Amino acid sequence: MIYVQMAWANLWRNKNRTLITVSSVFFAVVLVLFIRSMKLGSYNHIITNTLSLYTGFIQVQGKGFNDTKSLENSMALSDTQLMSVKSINEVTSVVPRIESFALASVKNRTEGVSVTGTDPKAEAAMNGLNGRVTNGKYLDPHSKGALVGEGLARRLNVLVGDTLVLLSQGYYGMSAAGIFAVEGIIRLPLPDLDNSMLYLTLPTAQWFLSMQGRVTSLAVMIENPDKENQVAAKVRKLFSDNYDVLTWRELIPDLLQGIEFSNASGIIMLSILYLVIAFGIFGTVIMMTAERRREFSIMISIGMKPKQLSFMVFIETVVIAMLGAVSGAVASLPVLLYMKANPIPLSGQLGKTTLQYGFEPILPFLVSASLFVHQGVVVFVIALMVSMYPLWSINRINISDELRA
Amino acid sequence: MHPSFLITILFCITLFAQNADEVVQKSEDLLHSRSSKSDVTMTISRPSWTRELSIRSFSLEDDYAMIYILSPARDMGTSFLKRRIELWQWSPSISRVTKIPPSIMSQPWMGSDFTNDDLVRSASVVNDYTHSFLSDTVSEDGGTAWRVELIPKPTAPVVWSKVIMWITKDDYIRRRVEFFDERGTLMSVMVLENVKKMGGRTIPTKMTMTPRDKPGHHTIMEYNDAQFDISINESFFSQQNMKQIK
Repeated sequence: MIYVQMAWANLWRNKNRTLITVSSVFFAVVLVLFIRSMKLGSYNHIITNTLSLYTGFIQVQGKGFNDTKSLENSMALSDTQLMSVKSINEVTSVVPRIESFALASVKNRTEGVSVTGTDPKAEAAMNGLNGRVTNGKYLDPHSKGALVGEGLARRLNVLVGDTLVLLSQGYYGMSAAGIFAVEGIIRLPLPDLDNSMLYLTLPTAQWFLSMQGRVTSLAVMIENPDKENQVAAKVRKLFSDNYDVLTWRELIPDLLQGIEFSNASGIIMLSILYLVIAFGIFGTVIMMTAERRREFSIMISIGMKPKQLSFMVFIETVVIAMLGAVSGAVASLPVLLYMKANPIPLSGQLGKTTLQYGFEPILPFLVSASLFVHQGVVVFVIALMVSMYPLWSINRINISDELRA
Repeated sequence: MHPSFLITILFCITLFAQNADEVVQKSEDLLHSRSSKSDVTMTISRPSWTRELSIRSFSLEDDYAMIYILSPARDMGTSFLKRRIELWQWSPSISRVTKIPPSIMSQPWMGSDFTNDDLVRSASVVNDYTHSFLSDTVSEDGGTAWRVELIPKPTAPVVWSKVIMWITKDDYIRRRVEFFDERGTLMSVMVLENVKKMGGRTIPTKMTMTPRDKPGHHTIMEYNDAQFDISINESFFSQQNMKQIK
């Protein structure tokens, strides 16, 4: 206990020295937290945007649909099942959809289109599809018409009010045909979608493809991305083995891989930052040790064993590192929370491009407990490793040389 | 071996070869008439669903046919017109007549195990194949039957490499038809049952087509009513008449 008392007294004996060392750890923590929060925030932003645009965090599908996107692998979906998914606490919206392909024909033009039958209200709640209408109106639950991507409308040369013929293959394998009026034109963020996407209401698509009561997928949005696996497990309980419940990681592995790749390079940058931080703290510690060499020699010469002395110094460093890490985290918290609430807007060309992809043009921040714990612990460990230097130097101190000086 | 014995065998083979042609011709005559009208129920079975279509069809010689879908409601009024080797489809939901291109002739018809080609029947069982007897067999209802092997002639528009028909000896009715692909693998089997008098003829009124490579798939066609040699002429088979169920 005496060591703790002595260490504490030592810290207060030279306040400036303590302050300098604490602040070197403090700034390291603030810097690392800031950079990491921004990086993770932007991943989160990309994921949430991509997922809310279409996929959802979790999807219920007919068995095998993810591998073979054919209506044969569609699933029966009752209102009861839909409601029970909706009533899971963490779930914010659920969108039942039919995804299929068709030939769209207008006069003598024919184009391949992706047909999506959806619940217009749920779709609007999930991704604000209604806000993307550039001409005409959005689908209402009873409309029998179609919502057409801007690029597709241009390729087919249709305007709002025109009719188009869709030809496809229905659920029972027979040919499916229908005439649909164009009710609205929508601008979709990704050119591929914009050039091929056609929305119908779910009942209309079910009629068109002769698949009453069936859908190909049920997209589920949740509030907190961290709960994805928990919610997936809950959803899985509601459905039999004839259904697949998949998370976005299985649905769009490309996105995940892209982020993992970017994160790998981020981690390399972060390691370099850690190294810089480590040397910063190291410099402070070297100075501190040099300053106290004489003090250490006196302590040893009046009978303190080097081991005891090392232990005392070790306690000092732990306290310093802890003070730095905790104060850094505490000071960062309001700043990061402020940045999270008021993200940096992207302006100019970068902003425009981001907007075109359907993402909000901002640099968002992520604030999570795990971020603080991870970064706090890493910097703390770095500080501890650096403080091995005084311990090492105590053991090879030359008392007579030091005292003579 | 005595030469006369050899001659006898050779003679028998040629005799049989002629007979095989005749047997197929006779069984064909039983089924086909100059003209016909029939109401058929088609049941399509898949591992996860079963679907029933009711169909009315008219035919004249080998060249003309009209098929109307009577139910289910979603497909009611859809019709198919065959004129010689061409096939058209009328889709009431889009008010359009589309020609079914040759490229999808071997595709399933209305999701069944019959192909568009089965409807058009561009090949003639009698003229486009060479026929020979295999060993006799016992047909499903117990009577003896010939097994006739049909090999398509090189110029015949046929996708099969070989077809084997079981034709009963007492009434020349086909009871079973096996279809083989170009590798000689059995691909589908059509079983013909419920031989009944209908429209003044004795015909099998139930046909079941079962593809061998898809478990749980089969299509049953059952005649509910058939009339033969009705008075109908070529002008009936028009695009105009496709639009209204007759």
